[in-house]
Amino acid sequence: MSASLSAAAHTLQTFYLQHHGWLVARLRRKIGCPWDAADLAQSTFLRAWTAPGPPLDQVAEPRAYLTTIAQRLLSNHLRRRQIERAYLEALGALPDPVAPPPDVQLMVLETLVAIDQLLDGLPAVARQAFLLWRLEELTQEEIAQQLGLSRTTVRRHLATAAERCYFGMGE
Amino acid sequence: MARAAVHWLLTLDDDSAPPSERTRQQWQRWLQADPLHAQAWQRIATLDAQWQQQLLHGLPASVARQALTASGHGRRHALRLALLLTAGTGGLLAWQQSGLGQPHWQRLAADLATATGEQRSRELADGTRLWLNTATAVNLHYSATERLIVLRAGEILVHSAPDNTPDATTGQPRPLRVRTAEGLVRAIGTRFTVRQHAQHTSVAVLEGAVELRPAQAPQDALRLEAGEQATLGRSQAGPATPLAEGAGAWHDGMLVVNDMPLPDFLAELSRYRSGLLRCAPDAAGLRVSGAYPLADTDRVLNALTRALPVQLQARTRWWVTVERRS
Repeated sequence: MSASLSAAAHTLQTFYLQHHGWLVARLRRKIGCPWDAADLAQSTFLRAWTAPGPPLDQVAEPRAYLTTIAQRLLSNHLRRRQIERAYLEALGALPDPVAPPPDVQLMVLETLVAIDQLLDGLPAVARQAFLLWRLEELTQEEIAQQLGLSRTTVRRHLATAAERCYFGMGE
Repeated sequence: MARAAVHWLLTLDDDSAPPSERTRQQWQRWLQADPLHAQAWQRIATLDAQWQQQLLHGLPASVARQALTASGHGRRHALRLALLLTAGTGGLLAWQQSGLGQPHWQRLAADLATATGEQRSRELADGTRLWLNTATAVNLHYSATERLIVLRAGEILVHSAPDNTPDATTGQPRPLRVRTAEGLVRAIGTRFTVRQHAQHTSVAVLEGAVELRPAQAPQDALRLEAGEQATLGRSQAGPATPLAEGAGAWHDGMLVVNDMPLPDFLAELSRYRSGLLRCAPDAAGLRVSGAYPLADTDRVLNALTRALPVQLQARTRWWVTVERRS
């Protein structure tokens, strides 16, 4: 192990000892379940440790920083559960309800979450238009009719969404 | 260029004004004008194909679309809820059933990650270019004194750049290193791949050189030159052997093999597709050569049935066995 790495490990250890107990206690108070709070705290430190930002011992407000990371992890997690629920509801609403095997469901969910993140921040109508276009393969005319928009507006929404979704532009 | 690609996608797909022959020729000229144009176009096709493949599974596309449009109140809502939970008053919720600790939880914590079948490249702050192969998770740890890439799963190709912000105290370039479960790989002006296997790391050098240091025996460093590859274990590195043909070809979207045993070939291929891919014992002695596109593994499997005396036994799309043709 190199010198800089062990110095870094020392930093992490100090940082961890200073704030871990506090973070777990705080999360436990807010979330309720001790085990989940501990898991979330662990992931938060891991994330803080490997984040590309400044070294941990130079973070000005370490506890605020940790809280922000915990919030982001938790928010991603909650969003994932929302999508999962909506997916299962959509499956159940099919005329002939089916339940794909668990590994398929997991793969679908991973992909849905990834697409959801790509589309994050787009207006709801642009999002809807893009999904109708690429997933359901509707034509631009059909999308315009379904959403009650002009073709020009549809085209503009599709362009914005596609640039974001395929190339990460405008984030 | 991205904007141009999207413009062409919208134009070619415009049902109110079907593209004329002249429009198509213009599009073709645009595609051929620059390899980056073709790449941008390919990116759209690849993502579309991936989504179709990973989302549909014979179900109507409306299911996936509804999951993404009808899901509660969107990410903003999830964020507000999370803020409420961690900063506000009161603790509650079905957090108890959250399933934390599953593998995906780890992936959320990665700085860069790819799903099965996905590849991605990224330019880092110092100009180093990183390609992520299928099912890969990476964390970046760039500081004033080092450039550290932590490979947590999968495989990367690194094209290192000279450091643009050297260590302020020493004036030396910051070392560029990849850390895996087994040790460290230090770049010496170079292009190389690092792959995390279950119990070891493999490293292949395409240009320049790298230095391998096992975590438990850092003094036993091994220097690998261009055209060499080696295994890195926790307590030893090496020996260096000549590079396998096609090493690094995955970053061009190809799997290139020469006289590879079929079971090994299928194991490679299965990294790029979800589900089980098995080789029946009666086909295990066959060998494969050729260059195969990774974007469509179904097609590769079908190509196999023409190249070799094999057939596919598919219980479902996610459970395929390759067996000797009866």
